[in-house]
Amino acid sequence: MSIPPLAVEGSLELSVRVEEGRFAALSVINRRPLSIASAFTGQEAQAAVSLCARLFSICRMAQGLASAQAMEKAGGFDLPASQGHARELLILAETVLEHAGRSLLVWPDFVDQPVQLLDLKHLRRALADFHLALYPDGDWMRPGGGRLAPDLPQLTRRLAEAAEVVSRAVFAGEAPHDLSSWQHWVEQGKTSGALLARSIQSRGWADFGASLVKPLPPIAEPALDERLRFDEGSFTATPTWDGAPQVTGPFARYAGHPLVASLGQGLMARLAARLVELSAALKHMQRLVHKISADAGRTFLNASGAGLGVVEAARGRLVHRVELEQGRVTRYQILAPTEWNFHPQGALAQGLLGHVAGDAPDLLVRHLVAALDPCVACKIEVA
Amino acid sequence: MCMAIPSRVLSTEGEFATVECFGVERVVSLMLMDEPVAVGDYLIIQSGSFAMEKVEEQAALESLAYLETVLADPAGGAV
Repeated sequence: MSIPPLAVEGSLELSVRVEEGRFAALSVINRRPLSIASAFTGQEAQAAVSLCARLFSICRMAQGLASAQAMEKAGGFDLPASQGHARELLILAETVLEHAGRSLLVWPDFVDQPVQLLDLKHLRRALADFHLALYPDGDWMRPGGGRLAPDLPQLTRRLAEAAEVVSRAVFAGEAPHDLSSWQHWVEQGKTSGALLARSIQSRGWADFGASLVKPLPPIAEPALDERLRFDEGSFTATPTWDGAPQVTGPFARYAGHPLVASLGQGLMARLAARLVELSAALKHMQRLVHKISADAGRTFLNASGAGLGVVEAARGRLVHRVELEQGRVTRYQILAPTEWNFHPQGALAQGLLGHVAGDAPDLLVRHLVAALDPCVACKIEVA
Repeated sequence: MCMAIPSRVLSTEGEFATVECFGVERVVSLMLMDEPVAVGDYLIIQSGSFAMEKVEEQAALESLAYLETVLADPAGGAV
């Protein structure tokens, strides 16, 4: 069941043409409301951050924290390590929810299995309000840092609950970590992820979607800042780096992981990358909770300057850039993962064009789109 | 979806609710909600058609008012 998006929620419209058995043309119409951030102009820093977290509430942590970080950089604020660890935890919690959500809610549809609503509900119960176990006043996104008062027993309990759901409902045991455990896991086919991998394998689609589009490299902030400062909208709408489109997200982050690398660069490697990241994120969270101590935060007032907030969100690298004058926004820009991955000549286009469409081209395109994971509803037409 | 626009509940029927936002009515599932939902509540919809959370009325109205001003400005709407 899926409902059409409202215009304001944005959507992607993909038209794919098949000629002589191959994908011959792709048109990408991006209806995401990209310029909505420019309307933050005139807002006070804190109000703009809150608005960000509220409007983009699907990936609220990543958006709110990228915004707060941009404000802090603009004001020359340095945060204590503890605040940094707490924020990293919040973004990882969101990543776990998003990645596990694919397995529980989206992948079942590809393999004719029922969606796992109860498991997702349990996972959300553990992680959706995770921020309150760190910032009891709910001010996790405050520029300068909110009042950090970690409740270690609660954090530990929530993480244990999340790990239990993921282990049981996503992996049915230990997460596969190398090629041999991956193959065994796929053969067993006990969860939607394993069934999806088995289906991709049996259809011969494991390498489909591989392309020369490179993982988005780390970018020095001054270079990125300069690119955004002089951008009039084309870079945030159709970004390139080093003169070429790039790919961002779990596959870009984990392309070098031994399991992912051994599976190539196609659909199978991308599926594995998401699962490897899900498992790694939970483990990293379990280490991070012990590094956090209480911190009162700092007052953020009347800053002037420009700053970047860069966050590795579930779907890929998210960048916010702000210019402030006396604590008010004079310019606001957002560069989001969907614009990298669905660039008209990017990972989707290069993964499709010229390749054999086979006897189920619609389904093949849907697999690659799901692997690249747009943050909006996606309408696909194959003709 | 990326933008989460609060939708107001017009009616509920079991595990489903009819919600409205900017004049558009949609039927959504309440199966992922962890709290009771009543007519007049504001919900965030995600993953196709699932209501994920309730938003306080004041926050919802502020978001909607903001979006209305952005949408009224041709430079701020969808590209």
